[in-house]
This record gives sequence, structure tokens and C-alpha cells, in this order.
Amino acid sequence: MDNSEAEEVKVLRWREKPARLETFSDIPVKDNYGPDDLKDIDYDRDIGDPGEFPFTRGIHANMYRGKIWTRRLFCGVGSPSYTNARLKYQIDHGASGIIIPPDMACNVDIEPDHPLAAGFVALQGAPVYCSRDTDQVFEGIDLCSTSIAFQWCDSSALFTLACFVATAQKRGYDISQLRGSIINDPLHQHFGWCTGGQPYSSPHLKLKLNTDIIEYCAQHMPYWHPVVINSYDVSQSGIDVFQEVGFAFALAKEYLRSALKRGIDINKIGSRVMHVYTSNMDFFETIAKFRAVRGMWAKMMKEEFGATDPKACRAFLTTHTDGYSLTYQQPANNIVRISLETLAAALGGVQSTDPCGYDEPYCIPSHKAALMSLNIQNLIAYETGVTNTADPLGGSYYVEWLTRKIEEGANEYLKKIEDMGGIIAAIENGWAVEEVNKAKVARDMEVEERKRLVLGVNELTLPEDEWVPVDIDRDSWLDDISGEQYVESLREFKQTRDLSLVMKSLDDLYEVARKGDNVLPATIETVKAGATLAEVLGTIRQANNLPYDPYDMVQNPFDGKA
Amino acid sequence: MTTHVERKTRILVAKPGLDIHDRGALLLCKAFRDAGMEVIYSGLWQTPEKIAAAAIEEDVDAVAISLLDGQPVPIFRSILEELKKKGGEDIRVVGGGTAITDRLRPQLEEMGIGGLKGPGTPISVVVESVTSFLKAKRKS
Repeated sequence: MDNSEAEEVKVLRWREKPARLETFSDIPVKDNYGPDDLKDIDYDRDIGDPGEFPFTRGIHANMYRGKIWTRRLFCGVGSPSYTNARLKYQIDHGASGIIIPPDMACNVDIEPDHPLAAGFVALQGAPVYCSRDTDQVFEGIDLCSTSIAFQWCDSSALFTLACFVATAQKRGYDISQLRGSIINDPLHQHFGWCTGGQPYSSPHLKLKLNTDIIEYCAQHMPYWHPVVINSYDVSQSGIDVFQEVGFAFALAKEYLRSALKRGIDINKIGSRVMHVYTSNMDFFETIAKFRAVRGMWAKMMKEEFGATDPKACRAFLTTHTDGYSLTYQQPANNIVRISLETLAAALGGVQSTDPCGYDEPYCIPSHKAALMSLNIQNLIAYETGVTNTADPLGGSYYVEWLTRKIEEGANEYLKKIEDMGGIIAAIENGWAVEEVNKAKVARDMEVEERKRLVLGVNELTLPEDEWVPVDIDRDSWLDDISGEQYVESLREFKQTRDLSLVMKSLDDLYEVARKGDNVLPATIETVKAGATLAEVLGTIRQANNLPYDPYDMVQNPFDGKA
Repeated sequence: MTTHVERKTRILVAKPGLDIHDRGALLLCKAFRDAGMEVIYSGLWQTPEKIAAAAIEEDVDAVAISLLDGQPVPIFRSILEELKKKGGEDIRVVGGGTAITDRLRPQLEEMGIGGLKGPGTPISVVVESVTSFLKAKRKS
């Protein structure tokens, strides 16, 4: 055989250059960075040692040497008891905290029998519509040694926290010892992933209820984080890092201003406001973002809000890895993506991580995907040495330059929102939604047009039979449990209540809400009497001259029954 | 000889119930428009009844449902029932998104739903599958 005629294989990627020379957020990057790029930065003023103002390098001097960051994983599906079993599995398999998302109906303040809820109950999160549900979610789980993150964003946060307090008190816990957080960031729901908010709702009432939670926690639950600014959800639209941080700070300022008007001490709540940001595939931009946020927060607390206790100037940060970065094609690659994103968060000095499951483009995390995501967090903690010292990348010319760059750009974007009159004004004039919707389409088009390379999607694509196999279990859990079963159990619960007690407690709540007082204590009484989510929030809404239902499709079942 | 001018395909992109992940729907609106269709977008929070009413009101050829979560079979069934109830049984229904699993696809096909592309499908392929489904239905 004559070899000379056979075509030779050419290595086309030999001497390949990167397709992009910008960060994820289009920040142009130079060949290299050096001391000249940092000449305006003063170490003590702008960076500081770990544990020292402005906390750029971390909120503790020894960081993970003192305590490894909290490792969690989204868990909530099917029913409260089913969620409980999955939580116990996670705790058994290396989770050092838990995080529970609401199902889609709780998430927007309505109940399973609502016309919009058909086909959406108990699928994407835990259904929590009465305090029986929180009893079941936490059955057999110690509430003091567990850091619990509730992902309730909207006003249902008020109801869910009330249920949790009722459950804890019933079990004899002193609620001042409880540790955890609740998102309670209702304003981002008006423009984040959920375009436009609910049609019959008021951002002003939502802000008032947000402050009620902050005030209650400042008085009764000092270790609890009553707000987690949820820029993560907004970022999933595809916005850039300046927008992600700018929106977060605009939201935080609205909540803080409202809390201060209530007379709450900034030194008490400055570090109780938490933040959740995305860890995405831009490794260095992610690390720099966490560092920039800490510096910005500390300076804002001191200079603008007048915090005098440096401890109140610390930003407690958590992260969820970037769901949008994950691909349907070759899902095994997602394990690598999640690992890198989690590592970036650890290098950025976050207090907790909550990675996606590798199967996120297909479904909520299956058992195997959940286990893998727990393993990723623990593997990084135990094997990489990232826990050895605080802020290991501090002093890197590039990282310090990028940190400063993000701080400047985010401050500029924040100023734009503040000049408009703050985030509520930006919601009401439609600007915030417009900004986010632009990003939603633009980012996808860039992948479609190959301006950004995504392995297996627009570069090095493979036929499915060549994919590295990985377990994908999209819906076998539906064999065990269905949303309909939960709907039925809620109906049964409602039938066993003492209705006169429920109505009396709702009347009391109505009066408190009319007066404009903090509604959380009265809400706790209503859930102890057996009131459910829509009944509680509907009562508060009616007391504020809004329709019972945020979509105005359902009437108050107790109207005219007094 | 008269030239027959074919009317542009009119399509309603809708988000049913509580599925508030609207990135896919917004992208579809753009892609259908780029492909020469007239597109109407429902916005979020649509009941099957509202979707059917809007489809008839807007005189569309097809309704496109983008579904990231929720139970597709009962959702699509209600939309078909509402269309029928309101005299819109000639309006085609197409669907796609993460909620369309392999296990559900045969059932949805049997119900007459077109498209049924899952996540990770290039947008051009989605558009092609919808246009060819509508063309085939028009001929039949």
C-alpha cells in the first residue's frame, strides 16, 4: 500500500488562540498586569487584611481555618415528608447545612387550588402552605446545629418564617438560638427571572413586609439572616457583573432605608443582610466579584449608613453556581463546570456554597446528581488546600485590578438606579425589566452566533452515542409521589381545623395590618391556629386595600362568613 | 394569472400557569419573527382559558407553549380542551422545553402537539420543526 497517497491528519488546533479576550461581562483584558495597574490602590484603605475593614480579603482573619464554608444543596420536592427524607439523606452524605426552595405556587404567594397552580404543585420545591408542612419538613432534624436556608423570595417568606417559628416553638426551641436565612427579597421578583411581578401587587406593601421580618429578627432571632439579596436570580437573565452587583446594592439600599426608618440600629443589621451571587465559568471575574462586593458593602455601611461597629460592615456571601452555564449536551461536562464554579466561590471567600446538579438542564437534581454536588463541595474543601489560608489570590495583579474594575463599574450602575429614584422607581417605570429582558435574548444569541464558545453546544459537538455516560433520571421520582397527593393532603388539613379559631386569628391579623404594625407576631398566631398561606397573605393584602389574590382570580373564602 | 399571496403565519407564544422562566419564550419570539412569522407574546401567568381566548382573538395559526417546569400532559390537555370549547380546534399547538421528557413525548405526540423539542436544541432547529409541522398540517 502506498502511504504517500493517504491524507494526513492535520492538527487544526495547533497554536490555537482564544476566541475571546474579554471577561464574561465583556471587560477587555490585557496581555498581563503588573504593579502599574495597582498604583491607585492603597492596601490598607482599599483592601485590608482578612478580617479587617473593608474586608475585601474576607470577613474573618483565618477564614476557612476557623470554619469551612457551609456546604448545601437545593432540596425540596414532592411533599414535606418526601423533602424531609431527602434532607436527611443529604445530611448523612456530607451536607453541612440545608437549603430548601419553595414550590412554584408558594414562590408567588398562592395556593395549590389556584387556577394558575394546576400542574405546578410540589414539583420544583417544597410545598409549604401551613405549619403542619414545616413540622414535617423538619421532623427529626435538630434545628440548632443546622444552618437552614429558606429560598422563599416573595411575601410568602413572612408566612414561611412564621410556620418555622411555630414548628420550632412547638418542639421547645428557644428561637433566639436558630441560625439560618430566608431570602425575603420580594422586589427582585418584579424584574428578575420573573418578568413584571404579579399583576395585583404593590412593591410598597412588599417592602413593608420585608421590613417586618427584619425588625422581628433584630428583636427575637439575632443569629438569623432576615434578608438575602437575591442577585443570583436576576443574573440568570444573562446580565453582566456590573448589573448583577449594581442591582443587588440598589435592592439592599431600599431594604436598609426602610429598616432604618423603622428605627432599627444599623449596627445590628448591617451584617445580617446576606447576598447570593452567581459563581459562573469566568473563574477570575467570579473571584473578583466576591472580593469587590465585600469592599463595596463595608464602605457603604460605614460612609452612607453610618455603621460604627466594623463587624456590621461585613458582607456575608453565599453562592449558587451558574445554572445557565450548564449544558444539555454531554451532561458529564457539567460536573467539571460545577466544580470550577464552586472552587471560584471558595477562592472568593464565600460563607456557603450551593452548587447546581449536573442534570440541571434536564430536571431538578436526582439522588445521584445531588450526591455528586455534595462530593464536589467536600472534595474541594478536603483535597485542594483552598482552606489553608485566607484569600490565597490576594495580591495577584490581575485579581486586584479586576476587583477594583468591578467595584467601579458596579458603583456606576448603582448610581444610575439611585439617580432614577431607587429600585422601586426603576421597577415602576419599567426600566429594570427592560434591562433584564435585553440580556435574556442577547446572551443566547451570542452562543447561537458562536461569539461565545460553549463546549459541546457550539464547539466540539458530538453525537449523543459518543457522550461520556452519566446517570440522568428525569422523572422516576414521580413514581413515588405526585403533586395531586399533596393537594389532597392540604384539603384534608383544611377540613380538620377549628375554623372559628382560624377566622378569629385572621381577624386579629387584619386589625394589626390595618394599623400598619409589624404583622409577623400576629402571623405566627394565625399559623398556630391553622391558617394557610393565601389566607394569611390575602388578609394582609385586603387590609392594605389590595385584592385578596395577587392575580385577582380567587376570592377570600371567609369573606361574609364572620 | 393572479399571484397568490400567502398570508404570514401568525403564532401566539404563551407561558402557562406558574412557569416563570421566560428566557426561552422571549428567544422563541425573536426567532419566529426572524423566520418571517407574525408573533404575539402572552406574557406570564396565563391560564389555559386565557391562552385559548387570546389565540382566537388574535386569529393565530398556532400556539407555541414554552415549558420549563410543570406537568406538560394536563397543561396541554387543558389548552386543547379550551381551544375546542371556544371553536378554535383548527389552531395548532406546538410545545417545547425542559419539561418535555422522553417519557412524556409519545403521549404529547398522540394528543397532536407538534415540535416537542427539549432543552439544548439549537433555536434554528426548533423553528424548522415548528414550520414543517405547521406546513404538514396545512396540507393535510
